[in-house]
Amino acid sequence: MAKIIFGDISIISKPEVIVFMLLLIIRTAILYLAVVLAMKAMGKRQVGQLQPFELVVVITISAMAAIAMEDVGVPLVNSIIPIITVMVLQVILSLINLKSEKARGIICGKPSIVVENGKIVEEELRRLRINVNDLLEQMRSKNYFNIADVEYAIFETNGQLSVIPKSQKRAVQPEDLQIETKYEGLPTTLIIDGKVNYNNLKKINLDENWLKTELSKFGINDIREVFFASLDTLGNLFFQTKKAPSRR
Amino acid sequence: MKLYGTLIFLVVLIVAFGIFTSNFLTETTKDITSNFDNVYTAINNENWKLAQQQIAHSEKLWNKHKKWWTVFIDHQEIDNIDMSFVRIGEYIKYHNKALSSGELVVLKQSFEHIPEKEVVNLKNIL
Repeated sequence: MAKIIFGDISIISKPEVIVFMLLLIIRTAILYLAVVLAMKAMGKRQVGQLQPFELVVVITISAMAAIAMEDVGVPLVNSIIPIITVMVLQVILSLINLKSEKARGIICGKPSIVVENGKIVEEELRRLRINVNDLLEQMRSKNYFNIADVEYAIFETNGQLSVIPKSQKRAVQPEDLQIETKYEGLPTTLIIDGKVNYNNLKKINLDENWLKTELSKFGINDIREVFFASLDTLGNLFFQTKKAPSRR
Repeated sequence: MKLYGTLIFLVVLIVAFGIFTSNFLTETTKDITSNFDNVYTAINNENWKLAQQQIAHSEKLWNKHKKWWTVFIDHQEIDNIDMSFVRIGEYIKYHNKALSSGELVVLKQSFEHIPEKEVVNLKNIL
């Protein structure tokens, strides 16, 4: 930091201001990486699907990182150690959750049935402190506009509402009409942005030569011209060429 | 199994780091403040030359350990100790007995309360 000299008006010189900003950038980058790693260790969950105890972890970690980011007087370890600790605790709690159903009930809670056999369960709504308007709003977001169409509605432990419509009101399935359907598996991605995915090709027992031959049938002689290509389980090859030649 | 191993490793790492930090701060505090009694006696006997030498020695030790202290300790505390060293240096230079001894006690307290803050006890937890 700059030395304060008596009689000198400019206390901090320009290069030192830049160094201070650089310090903030470096600290922010380190903490950002720490938070990203911690979040990655937590597993794959969308924010809206977080359990209450997972949401607490997200809030705690972000608050801890923010303090050390904005205050250069706080040592980085004062933030990094609590972040690691919270992450470890979260993973331990997840493992306990995984192993014990009893613990799961305590930590995550249990799903609540709010509509049972077409009737709103008033006691359950009262217990959850959710009013009928909130329930109707959540149902509308699930495309159920009439409560009379609903057989069951369940508030999941992550706060999402699952709705089972009455059998007469649900979408028609091929099985209802006794229509035979073909197997539909996952399409295999073969080319992304001009680059062949050899692992996927190997998985379906095909090689680059086959891909080149198939593409040449459509007048494509260079794989780098293809932006995206995939092969579905029925053997149909889908591809799209790049629009901008400069990006080849 | 890999996950359990990683968790145990992280817990051990955090605990070991905590123990290391606590020991490091206690040891370096002892090292820096070891001749504070000599400084105090020298100030009381108005042996300003000896007091200056002794405090310069402590400041040298502090500057040696300071870069590691910044890793563990709030930088405000480090600034306070720096300021205290500057002040006591000036008080000794101008042979001010009352202010020198007062500042020395403050400096000693500043050093001793830092490792105390890191100790695991009910007071610090609450």
